[in-house]
Amino acid sequence: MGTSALTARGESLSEPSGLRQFIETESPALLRFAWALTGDWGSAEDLVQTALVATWPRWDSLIRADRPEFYVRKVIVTTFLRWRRRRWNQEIPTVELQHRPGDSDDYSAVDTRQAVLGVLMRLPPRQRAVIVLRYFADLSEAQTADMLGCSLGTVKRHSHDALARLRSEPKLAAILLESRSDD
Amino acid sequence: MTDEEHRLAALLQQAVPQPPRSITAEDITAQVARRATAAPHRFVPWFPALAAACVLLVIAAASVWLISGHSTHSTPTAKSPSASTSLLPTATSPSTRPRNSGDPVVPRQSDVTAEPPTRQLPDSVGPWSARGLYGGDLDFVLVSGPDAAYGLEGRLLDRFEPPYGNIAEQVQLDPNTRWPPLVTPRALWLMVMTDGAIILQMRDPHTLQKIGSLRVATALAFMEPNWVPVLAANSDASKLFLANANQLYSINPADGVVEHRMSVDGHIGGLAVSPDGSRLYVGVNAQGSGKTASLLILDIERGLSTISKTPLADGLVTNLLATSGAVWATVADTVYFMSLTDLGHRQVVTAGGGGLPASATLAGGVVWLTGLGSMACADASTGEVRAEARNSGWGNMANYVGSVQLVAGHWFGTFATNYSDDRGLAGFTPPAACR
Repeated sequence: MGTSALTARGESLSEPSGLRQFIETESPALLRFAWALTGDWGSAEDLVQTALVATWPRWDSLIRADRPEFYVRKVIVTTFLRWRRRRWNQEIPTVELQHRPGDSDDYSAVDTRQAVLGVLMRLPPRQRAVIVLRYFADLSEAQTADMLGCSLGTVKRHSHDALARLRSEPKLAAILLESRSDD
Repeated sequence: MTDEEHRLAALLQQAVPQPPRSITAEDITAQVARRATAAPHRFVPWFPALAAACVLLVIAAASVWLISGHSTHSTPTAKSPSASTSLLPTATSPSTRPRNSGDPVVPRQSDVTAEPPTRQLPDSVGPWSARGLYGGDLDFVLVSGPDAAYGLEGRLLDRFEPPYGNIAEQVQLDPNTRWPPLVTPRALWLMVMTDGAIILQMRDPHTLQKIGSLRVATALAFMEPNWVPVLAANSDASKLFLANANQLYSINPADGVVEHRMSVDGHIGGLAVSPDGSRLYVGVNAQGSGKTASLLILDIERGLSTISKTPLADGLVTNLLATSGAVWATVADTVYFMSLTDLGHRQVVTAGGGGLPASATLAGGVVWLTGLGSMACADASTGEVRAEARNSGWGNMANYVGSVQLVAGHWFGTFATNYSDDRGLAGFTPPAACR
């Protein structure tokens, strides 16, 4: 069922064709992506909704370019980086995350997740964005650079620095070393 | 990716939980509608009819029609008449702005769509397709180096990278740092006021970290918050010139030695070095308000000896720009062009006001004359205006795009909109006549 909204000029703006299906199918993944950046569902929803609102008027051209998801993620990242300073005082990195992942996991898995997310949330926003884009969204360095609007070298530097900080967490370091010993 | 990176990717996938709820199309529709209806100062098509009706009503009631008539220029949620001051920095402090004010900043994505998904300034565009790239409480003076532009946000120094104006670095500055800095190929030179000295603090142009400092002892008290000394350098940055009150210092940046020092008969408001490095232009404000400012031309190679002194205009000099054969002086809200062949000067733009400064910057080989409601480019030698854009500032359109900089082929400036209190970094595309 199509719906509509008003533009800033008071004109009726119909819901773009296909946007509804995109939202329904992609919003869970987009929310997880935004959560990985922000660490809380409220901010994640804000980011995704902001991105989807920005997508609305450009939907047709994005569909033609066959890259709506890329665009939405780009808006999410850019908006996240823009918000970072205004939200700076609200962001309180903690070792024990306020949000606890699913209850069905064994304690070891929960500990590991908390270790991962704890270090991730303590990364500077830009480094965190690089880590999330590279290793959570599975983008290449070039795609990450494109997404962030920076050079490849900048992505590599942020990635290197962030990985070094992730390795500084003992539980993570143990896992990463284990992975090396598996080779 | 290495195995280590693969393991990290798997960990992240496991660690990020599933969302407790999904976002629906209805959520987005409601957001779009809410934003459209909440846009407080947009120009709406029925505005003229509403205005006319209001005026008729006021006349019929025989009330104070002038005041009421003026109020019809505002939408129902428009600000009080004092909104004209909303362009002042104090009106846009982060604490008073909604976190999510305006649309998101979206970088240009030429590979995605022909229509760049940048944040267009609301309701059409600003001058020359100006578009907001970053919304922040930026000082209106922007400076640039070869690969970045630099802005001041409160006490934060931002490094903006082309092409999207993303903040690549951001550092907090020392208290009592004055803006704008001098940008040389090797450093950003910031002036930090202390009691009895000005510290010329050098920061790396890429990392913005401190890389050195020079201390210039100064005799006069200058700790007043609004007092800003002026710093300039010759083209190869082998000489620095610092002006503080009526004192002028020539400094060797290699060793920090003050090579020359002189006094002038007024407070110095602007400094510029000629492109060939032989002349120092000094904008001197006469003591007392309303007095005529003057331009002092000094011979650098002869120990800052005076070549000439020429009256400029009534008011305070706030900036000087030197181009080949000419000097551009910003006095009060007006930019004057002065040909060095005859030292005759003429007004080229009157565009400041409302807390928004008139400015003249050299970028891309032309001089950009910007101010409230006006933007022009002019020939750097003759002062002839090549192209000009005007903006009435209706609604949320940008009525100010200033401090133009060209960075790696991309044009930037600071912007402000009329009523929305929105300001920040803008990108724009100049007409061919300006390039």
